[in-house]
Amino acid sequence: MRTRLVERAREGDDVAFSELVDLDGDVCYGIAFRILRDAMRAQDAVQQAFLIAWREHPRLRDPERFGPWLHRLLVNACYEELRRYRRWNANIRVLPVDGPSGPDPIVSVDDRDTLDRAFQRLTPEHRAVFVLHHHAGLPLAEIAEIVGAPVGTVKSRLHYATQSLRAAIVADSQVDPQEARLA
Amino acid sequence: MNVQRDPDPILAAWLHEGPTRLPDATRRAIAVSIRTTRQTRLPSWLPWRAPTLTGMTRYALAAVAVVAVVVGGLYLLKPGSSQPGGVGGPGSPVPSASSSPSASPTPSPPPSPEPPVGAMTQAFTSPTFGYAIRYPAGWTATATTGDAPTPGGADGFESAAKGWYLRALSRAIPDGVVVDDWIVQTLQKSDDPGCMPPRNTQESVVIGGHEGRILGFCGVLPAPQIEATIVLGKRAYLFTLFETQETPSAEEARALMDRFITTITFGPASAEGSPAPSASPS
Repeated sequence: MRTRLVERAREGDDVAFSELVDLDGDVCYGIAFRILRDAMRAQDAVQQAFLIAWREHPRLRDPERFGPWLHRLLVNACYEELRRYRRWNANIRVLPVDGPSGPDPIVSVDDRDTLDRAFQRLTPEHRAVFVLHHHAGLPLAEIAEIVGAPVGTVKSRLHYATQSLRAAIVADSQVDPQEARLA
Repeated sequence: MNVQRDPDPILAAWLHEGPTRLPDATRRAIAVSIRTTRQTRLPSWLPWRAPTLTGMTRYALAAVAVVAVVVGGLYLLKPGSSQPGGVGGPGSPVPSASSSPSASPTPSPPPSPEPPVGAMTQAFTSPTFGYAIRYPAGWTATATTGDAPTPGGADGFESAAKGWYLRALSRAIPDGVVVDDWIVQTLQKSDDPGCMPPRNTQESVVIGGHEGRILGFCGVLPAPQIEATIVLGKRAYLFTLFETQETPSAEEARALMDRFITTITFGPASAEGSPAPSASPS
């Protein structure tokens, strides 16, 4: 069904393309939000990715590759967002939103703050690989295709990003045992 | 003695937090966009899928490619060839991004590496911000369009590989501010305060015949960048060089920034909304 929609969209069928947006929009938004840590910018990135996907759709030769191709456009749109607004909005604190995946009690306010800051220090490329693997669950080979880098590079970026975030939590959790008992 | 927690469950929960559904408003915006955007049309002879090559076809195509390269190479190296770039043809002593690659006149020289960024052959004048600059061939210059890509507007210069990005802008300096402080707090606003020294301690640099300041590669991730600022009368200029795909060395980035700086000239009086100039560019 999906392949048929891709083929129809390639022929200029905007209704078919809208169905693809319905199918893939949530996943793309989830990825973009986690790379950008900002809902509005994530919406902009998703919209940009789908718009380019529509415009350039005839260039997609193999309809089976629509998914990775769309993800590549999305990641590039996220890079663009990060580059455009890197400095101007850098100090905006991103708060988690309510909803099915709202704040998790396991994550304290301090943890969230620590992780947000550590994540901001990662390069866009490290962020993308981390999110595509740990959030979207994509295999390294597919991530390599999406970000246009060798699998070894993807593996190394993933390792670095994960270690950086772990280290931030561990450094932040060096608490006095007396304080821990009182808590 | 410290209590150490397992970071992985916290990390997983943090990553899981956040919206899961694309807002309807965004879906509608996409629907409107695609209805008003034409698709790129490909020539009808292009196949829907890339043709599957048989073993023989693949070898035949490879052989044709090899023959074409050999014949082309012999033609270019033929003595007395009048083709630009051929041995014996007119050579250019200065590498230019707009000229064809030229072969060396010596018989067997070691190949010299291409410079990472070509010569500054393209000119750009900003009527909005009141400056002119030259940039390399192959780069894309995008004049500001209102608040894009930066609130308040900025011109952008992007390399062909979309790695390097130079952002240029200027702003009228409000009355009653300490200029250096205002520049650091508004134009050079940083997410890492430790990376942003007071402007009067930043390195001095000459831009367009005037003294400005340059802030070197401070190494802050994810935005290692170089910034140059200059004040002309009641207008402040900011030029920021990013590298977004790979992290270049500080020397490499500074060298490229210096190349841009040598091409910049100013006309603050021509910038939109400028007061009468109190300094004229050289």
